Amino acid sequence: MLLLSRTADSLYWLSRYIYRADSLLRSIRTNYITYLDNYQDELQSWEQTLLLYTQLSEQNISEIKHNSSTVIFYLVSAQENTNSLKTIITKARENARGVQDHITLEMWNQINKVYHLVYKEIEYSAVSGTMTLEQIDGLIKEIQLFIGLTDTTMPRGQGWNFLNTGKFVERILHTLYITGIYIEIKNKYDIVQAYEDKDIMYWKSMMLSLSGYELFLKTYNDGNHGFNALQQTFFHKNFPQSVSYSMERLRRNLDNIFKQNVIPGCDELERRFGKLHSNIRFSDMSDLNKENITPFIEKTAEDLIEFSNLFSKLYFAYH
Amino acid sequence: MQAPEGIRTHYEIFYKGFSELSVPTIEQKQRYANELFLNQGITFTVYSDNEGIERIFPFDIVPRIIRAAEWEHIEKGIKQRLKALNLFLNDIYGEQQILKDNIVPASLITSCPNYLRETHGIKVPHNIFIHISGIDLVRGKDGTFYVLEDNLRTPSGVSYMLENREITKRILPNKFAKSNVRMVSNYPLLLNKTLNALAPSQISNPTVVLLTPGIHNSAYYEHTFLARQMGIQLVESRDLVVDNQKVFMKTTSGLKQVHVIYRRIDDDFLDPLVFRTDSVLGVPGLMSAYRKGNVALANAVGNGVADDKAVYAYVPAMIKYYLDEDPLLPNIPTYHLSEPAQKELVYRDINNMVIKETNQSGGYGMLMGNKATDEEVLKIKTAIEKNPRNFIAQPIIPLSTCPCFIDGKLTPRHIDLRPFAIYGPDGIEIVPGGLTRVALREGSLVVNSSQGGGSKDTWIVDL
Repeated sequence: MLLLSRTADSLYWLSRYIYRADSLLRSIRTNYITYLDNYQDELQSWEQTLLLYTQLSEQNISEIKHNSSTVIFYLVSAQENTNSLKTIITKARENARGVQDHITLEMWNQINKVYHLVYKEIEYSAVSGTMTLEQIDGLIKEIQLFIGLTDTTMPRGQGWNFLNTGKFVERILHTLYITGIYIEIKNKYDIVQAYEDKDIMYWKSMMLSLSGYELFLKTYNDGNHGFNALQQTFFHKNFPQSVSYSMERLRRNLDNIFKQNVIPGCDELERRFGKLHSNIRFSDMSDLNKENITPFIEKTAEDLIEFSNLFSKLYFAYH
Repeated sequence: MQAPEGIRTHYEIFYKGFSELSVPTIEQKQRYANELFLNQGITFTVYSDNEGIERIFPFDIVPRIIRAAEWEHIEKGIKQRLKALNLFLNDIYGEQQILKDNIVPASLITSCPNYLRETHGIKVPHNIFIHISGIDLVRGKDGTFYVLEDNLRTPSGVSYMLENREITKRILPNKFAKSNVRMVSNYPLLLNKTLNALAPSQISNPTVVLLTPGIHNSAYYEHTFLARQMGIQLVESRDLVVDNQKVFMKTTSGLKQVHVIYRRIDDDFLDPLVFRTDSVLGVPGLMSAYRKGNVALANAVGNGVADDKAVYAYVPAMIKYYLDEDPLLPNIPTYHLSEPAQKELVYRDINNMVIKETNQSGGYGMLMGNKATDEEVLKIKTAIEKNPRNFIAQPIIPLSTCPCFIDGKLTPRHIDLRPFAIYGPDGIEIVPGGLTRVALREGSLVVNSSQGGGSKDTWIVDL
């Protein structure tokens, strides 16, 4: 079945926003628990999450980074935060609303449920400073239910490919950004560079935010936690959040899109993605060191954004 | 539900089961119904302090029940009316014989803002203008169904009719199953069949789309609902482009020709090259493709002249003129305020009149004489004096009531009925039932959702 360019655009962004909401909530959950533990460490704060999801200045971040209720309010519902949970869910729903005839009724009902939950309960708790872990877990489950419903009910046609493309683009960027920020903070406050760090508590926080801590414990036991965390997030073949895994899945979806939509410009797009994909596929930790790791992250993110822009121009050009 | 001699026969089965339910159980079912509406996004947005608040269109769980015999009469009456109105549109955009024969005053048509000269001479497929319509009926004191107004442009509400039925099946399954209720769920299939039939005859597998103004339109839910139920693309104007007098939609695989458009956009906004130049909802060049016969539009362009509130008064005459029949469903007496004698009569008895603007709908531009303040009366009189063609008046009809479950008890509220008709090459089909709208405020006669109205399921039962 043919797919409207606008529909493809909305499906792409629907999944990006859903993934963003899910990862934001997981970061909130991780930090929320850390603060309940009363674990005192300058490196363990809301700084990473604020850098990742807000546009606050360094000064503003340092003022609020140890104040959980202020941070949660800002992350969940502050009007000036264009990446707040409320905004992200609203955008996801707006996109779903525009393509209701292309997603299943179950998906539509579920995104509505999430939306009303955020507007009715979560926002109130965030504003009043009464957010509970149960509420955060509950919302993560509802979002997961949407993801699960998508997986089990969405027809595997054109729409599915665009939906998944959005998901994997967002996932790769998120993994790159969160890793980059953890490296930046580590290098900023600690004399031990991220690459050589052996502080498990620091990397545990990142791996929990990426839902990869269990795999991390099972895979590595040599104590090189910084190095191992970076290896897992970039190159682990079985870690769903890793750049390598997500890039491979992205390739499969793009292959389908390129095959089914042969239009002028798609050859060039395919070539560009091929370069980006190969760069990850044929790299490993031996290619990275403490000097080039940050440029590597920045370059990969930059190339992916450029690809994503070209992809949008080619397939979503309905303006 | 209740006659002087007791519960009416056709309500007996329902009432027996319903009266066995406790108040908390009914309240729980009502809450469940509301939750279903909310989670399915069956809402409309109310704007307050620049923030949109989503509200559901209130649903009352007590159905309105109509006997099949009564329904047959309604159905025949609507079919008769639509045939005449369709002939009127063919005539008015063609030979204009009805004007030449002085059945309808020519001045009434030429002064109608919805009479579109641009439509003259366009050959519509199968000579059908009114593919989709919703005819508003009210029941008077004597039990007679009257036509309140014809909606022949982009009538909405059919999704509520269908959703109300689905919700009823969930919350009152046993009572529903026992009541022998006629089915409404085939409406989208009938509509899809009709839309496909409008495509140019040489196209065996036409592309049909539903054109919506977009997600901010108050009927957007209905647009998505119908597109989903028919399995057709829901498009916005930005998805369409006209090239060489053909309409195309922009897909990820390039341009794809569109043959039939079920448009939910008013005439004025359809094509900025022909109508309103500031329209961003329409498609430039659409009218040229339509005129050429390369795309069919449902409903046809220009239907507004037939459902104008001032033209409404002449529908019984049209039925007589075109079909040589007496109307099966009577009109409500209507006074034209451009006629000095009629205006005088209305002014004298304004407390018993409802004044309506001829080109407004949704309960807007309406004044209920019995509720209006002196200031409001003065204001509308000033507007009437300025442009009397814009107004009509009708006596206030005490609408029939139906029991509603409000504040823990059954209590009567005024209702109307909007059955939905589909007019295709094989004739007119009307799904048995329609949307019953309820004036939820005690004593109110205004049933529109924007004015505190709600709705309920409508059962046509075979006894």
